[in-house]
Amino acid sequence: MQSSLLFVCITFIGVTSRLFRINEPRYVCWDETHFGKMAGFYINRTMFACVHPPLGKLIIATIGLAGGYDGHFSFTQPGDTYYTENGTLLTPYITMRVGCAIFGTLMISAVYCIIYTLTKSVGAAVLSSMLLICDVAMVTLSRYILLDPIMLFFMFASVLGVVKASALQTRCSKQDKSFTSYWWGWLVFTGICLGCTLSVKLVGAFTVMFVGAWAIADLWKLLGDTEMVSLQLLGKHFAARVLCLIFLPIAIYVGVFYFHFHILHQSSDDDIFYSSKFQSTLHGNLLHKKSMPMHITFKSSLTMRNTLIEGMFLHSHPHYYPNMLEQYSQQVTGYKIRDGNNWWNIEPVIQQAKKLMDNVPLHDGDLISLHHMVTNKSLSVVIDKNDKWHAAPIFYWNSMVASISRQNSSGNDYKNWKIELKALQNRSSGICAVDCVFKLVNVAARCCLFASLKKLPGWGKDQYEISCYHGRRYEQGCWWHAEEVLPSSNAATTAIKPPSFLTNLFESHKVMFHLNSKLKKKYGDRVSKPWHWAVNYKASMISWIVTKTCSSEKFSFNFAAATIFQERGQAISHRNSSGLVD
Amino acid sequence: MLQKFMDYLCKIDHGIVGICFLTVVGMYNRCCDLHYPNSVTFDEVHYGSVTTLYSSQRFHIDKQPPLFRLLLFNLFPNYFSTVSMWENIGKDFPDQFSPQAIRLLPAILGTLLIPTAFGVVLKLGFTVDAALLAAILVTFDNALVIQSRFMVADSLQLILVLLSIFFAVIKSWFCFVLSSIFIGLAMSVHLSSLALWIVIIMLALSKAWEICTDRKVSLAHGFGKGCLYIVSSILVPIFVLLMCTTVHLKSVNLSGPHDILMSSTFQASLDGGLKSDGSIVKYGSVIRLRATGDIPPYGSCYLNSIAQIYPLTHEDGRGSSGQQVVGCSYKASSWNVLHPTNFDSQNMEVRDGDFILLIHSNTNGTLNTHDVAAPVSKYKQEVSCVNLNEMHSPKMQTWKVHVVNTNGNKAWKNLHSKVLFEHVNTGFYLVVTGNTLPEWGLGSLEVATEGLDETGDCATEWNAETIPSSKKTSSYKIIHETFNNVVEYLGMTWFLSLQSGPDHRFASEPYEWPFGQSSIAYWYNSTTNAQLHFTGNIASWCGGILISSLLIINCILFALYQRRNHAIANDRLHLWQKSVYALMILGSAYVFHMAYYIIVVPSPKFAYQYLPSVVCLHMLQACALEVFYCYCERLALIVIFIYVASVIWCYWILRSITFGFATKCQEELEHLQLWQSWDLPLT
Repeated sequence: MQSSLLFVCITFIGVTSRLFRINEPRYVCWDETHFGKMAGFYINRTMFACVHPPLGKLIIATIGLAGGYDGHFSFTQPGDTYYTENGTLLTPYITMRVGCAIFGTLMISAVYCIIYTLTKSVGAAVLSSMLLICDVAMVTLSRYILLDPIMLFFMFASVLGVVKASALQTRCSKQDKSFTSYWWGWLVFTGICLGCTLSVKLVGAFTVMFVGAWAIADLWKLLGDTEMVSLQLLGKHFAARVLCLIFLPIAIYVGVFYFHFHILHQSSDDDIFYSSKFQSTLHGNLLHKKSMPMHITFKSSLTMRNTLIEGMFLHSHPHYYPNMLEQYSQQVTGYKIRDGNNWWNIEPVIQQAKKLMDNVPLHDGDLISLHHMVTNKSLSVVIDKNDKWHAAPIFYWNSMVASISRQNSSGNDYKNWKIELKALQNRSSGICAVDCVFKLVNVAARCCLFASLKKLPGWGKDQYEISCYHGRRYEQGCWWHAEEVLPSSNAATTAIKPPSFLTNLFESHKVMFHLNSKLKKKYGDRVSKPWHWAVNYKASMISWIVTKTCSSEKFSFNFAAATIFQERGQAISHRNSSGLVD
Repeated sequence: MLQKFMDYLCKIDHGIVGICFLTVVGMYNRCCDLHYPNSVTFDEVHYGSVTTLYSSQRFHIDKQPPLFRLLLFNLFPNYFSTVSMWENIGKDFPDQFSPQAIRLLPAILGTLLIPTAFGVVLKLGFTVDAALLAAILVTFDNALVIQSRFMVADSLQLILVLLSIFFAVIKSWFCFVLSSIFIGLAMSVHLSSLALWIVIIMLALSKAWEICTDRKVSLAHGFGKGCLYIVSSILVPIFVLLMCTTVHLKSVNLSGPHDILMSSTFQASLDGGLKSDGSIVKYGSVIRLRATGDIPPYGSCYLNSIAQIYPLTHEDGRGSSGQQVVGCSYKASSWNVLHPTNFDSQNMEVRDGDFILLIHSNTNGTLNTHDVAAPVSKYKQEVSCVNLNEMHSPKMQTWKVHVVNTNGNKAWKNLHSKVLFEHVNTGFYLVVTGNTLPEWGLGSLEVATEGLDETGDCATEWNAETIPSSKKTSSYKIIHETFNNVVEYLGMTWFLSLQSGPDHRFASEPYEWPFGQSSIAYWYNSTTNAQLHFTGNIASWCGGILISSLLIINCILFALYQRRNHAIANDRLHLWQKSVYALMILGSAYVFHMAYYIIVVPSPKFAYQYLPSVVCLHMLQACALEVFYCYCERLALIVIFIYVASVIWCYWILRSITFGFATKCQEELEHLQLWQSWDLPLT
């Protein structure tokens, strides 16, 4: 009784501390620019690329929607005011902040319950939750439109679940409440919260590990209890945990992504991160519901895109490689944007020409030559007078690829490319657009057309290097597919097959990790180091403005500690509670 | 007589015979035909060219600590008298220098690996047969063989690491100190031995725990001895590493090619390096300004100005009229320190809190910053040089000097003081942003100004290096404490080892190593089509992963079984304890070494960096096979026999690219392509 009364009190104090002056500051603070913007994307149903899984942003979007946010306010950059000059509110930011703050408060309640369950001491529980309430870092973190309060809540809720579940198991068989509906309830609750933690931010994986370790310790205890626990019962315990703590979180994680793809179907600038097939599912994208010729033929005009993340188009433009004779060396580069210079004509190699009609589809192993549509030059490996290939500018062990004038007959063999389909694909029917992935092998030089993720220097106009690779190790740069194919007069057309859900899931994770790997610390960046966190060494500024009222919100560091080593609050509470109880 | 001798022979343990035989075989495949190929091969070019710098005693630094190169130079000084010998890969050795002699050292060390691996497995408590098995695996590993046949540091590192493990498992404090010495030496060869150092420290902790909890020993005695173990495992390796570096620095005391990377005080300690005509910066001094600390990507950064205007216009149409101020990795230009108002105040000392003007000597521009975005970092202020006689008054370009390490004395000391420059008008501080300028900057770093952060930290602290005026020729060398220099040298080595290099055709990622999916071409002869490749023995590498995983599973299952209070035979329990001990040492050495390469080291990474892990894996799988033998004798015996046969068979197949035999036809090479991912050049 006493404990529930105190629970209510603590929650009330928590709410008050978090909601006090929540409308200040009246402009976009710090990462609100990201998460507010992304909530807007969900409301506008625009596809975007982000390093975090979708649940947190979905929750913020839901709160925003409930508050009347219509997705028009763009949260462009920190410092943008939420009001117009005459004082009308542009977006219901307060509702969104309050929503996040509620999650931040619930976390405190969860910690109260955890400590009470572990120690059965009201004092310890009150102390630990008061420490969290008075932690200015936690206050600051919970007051803005951020993912952290949401993640912290789910994190501690899952710890609460597992603590409650194992408290229900006792060695005395009469009081043992394993496999009661109550016990199942907590275990399922844990599983759901774990899934949610992981779907808000991937650092939630550490919570999964913590809960997993707790479950293993539980099982280890049961295993040693040879008198009470039969092997069969142990098996049941094990199965229940596998079901609730492994399969359930995975199902929730996948479900959240399913929902995410279901909601977002508008094209945006972030499209370039995704593959062509993925793009074809987005409304407003060039490829959406586009009908294309069923097969690529010997007379097709097409654009080709690499299968790497942020794959680029095979591009050529009338500029030359530096220090080369001009007739030999029109640049061939990788370009991420759709452009007129990405178009190529396929032509059969002369010897074969007679027997080929317009609409004969290309097959695996066919020899073709590729002509740049705008400049009418053909793709070739660059060779010098001694018939040796020329080194590429960055990957110097590859040979250089250039567009060469068609009249220039020397080294004609080096203009012939053989199409090799990726294994596991249907070889019998011809090569199709978008779906069929192939390699272009230069027969004379015995190398394949290769895209590296390296930018060319200034003369390359910030585009990427394309070269010809002689080895076999880095095959991932060698795979291409046709993206747009110009329809010819009487060929059968077909629409692009939409990718399956699992393909999308896999691809969006590749994009997430790719974006994450791009975030790198460099000299002069103002970031704190992990050891700073433990001793609260550095503050991190959330917002700061020089006006007469001078509202400056500072954030005594814990921000990063709270996100990365989430068990900190618990560590504090454990420290206190153990002192009080024993 | 003969009878007696035969009797004596019969008494000899089959282990000794076996290990002698294997050592001879190992000697044969590592030390035979070392003169072939008679040209510089792969990394020899690196070791060779760096080691030649010892002959001129010029200062140099490398990505790794110096022990191997130091050893090479002192053993074979005449091989390293000219750089031209080591200029590029494939260059033939001159007639009077046969590569045989110099390659013999790594080859012998590589051979010693075989008995040492044998010894380690024995000391871990396993039988002679298991130890022989480990020795067989080490003998017939193509990767270990080829890496011992060239002048590269790996076999030295491997033998030191193995000796360290060997002595660490012997129960005596003296041996433990020996082990710490060996790990210190291994770290002085290659920084990746840090991973094993952690294992040794772990072992020390576990031994200390064992001694402290032993009731037979008094607490004080046990505690003291435990501390002794821990302290020696930590301090001895550090001491050895520092000593090796000291020897290196003593033998290269002349100014050399890599001076520029080091701090000003370090440079002053080298003969022919930086000199100073006075220890305090004065008004009128001509100085160079160097950003302290290691600044990527070059390590050093000097303040420089170029007589060109920033070629930029910002979105609001504003551009800069001042000339570029950039950071350079070399000593490009000097600056004149002047008083902002009183130009007659020559030779007055500059102190903390004083105001100065900085005039660029070559162009007479004054260092200035103003409210225009920096070229790359748009939220910082641009720094430029302006001419004083234009509309700019000197007041606008005044900088305030903040000496960070004042030590009571507020003077701005040459070389020693770390200084911040605050622009008086805007309150912003001069920093290197860490960005490289676009192409017009020719690879220079961006210099800008920014405010302090909340804790009052500034990204860049500066260092003055005064340039002696022509009148004063007498200069004195600052004798800096060797200790500081050694620490700085090691810090720079660590920094360099963390810098990523350009992509390499044969670079690979750690996840490709365990199954030997990566190969490296060392040498190629186009006339005979003979090729040398670094490839692992696929059978023992893949088999090792499988067998060791089985051992881990076995240990876990056994622990579960025990927890269930099942009665366990004593010998089985003993076997389990043995295998857990072996796993703790060899398994964690494997894992830490891999983790070092996955987490710490940037690309490019090469497959031969996996070798320390491989040796641990070979020993671990030998232990595992003994455990399986104890469980099912007959079956295990057959499996082990087949396994060893397949390992030797795999070695035999790959020998032509390990030793560089001439290959006649294309097909032969294609047969050797055991993994699709191997990059054997086919002509």
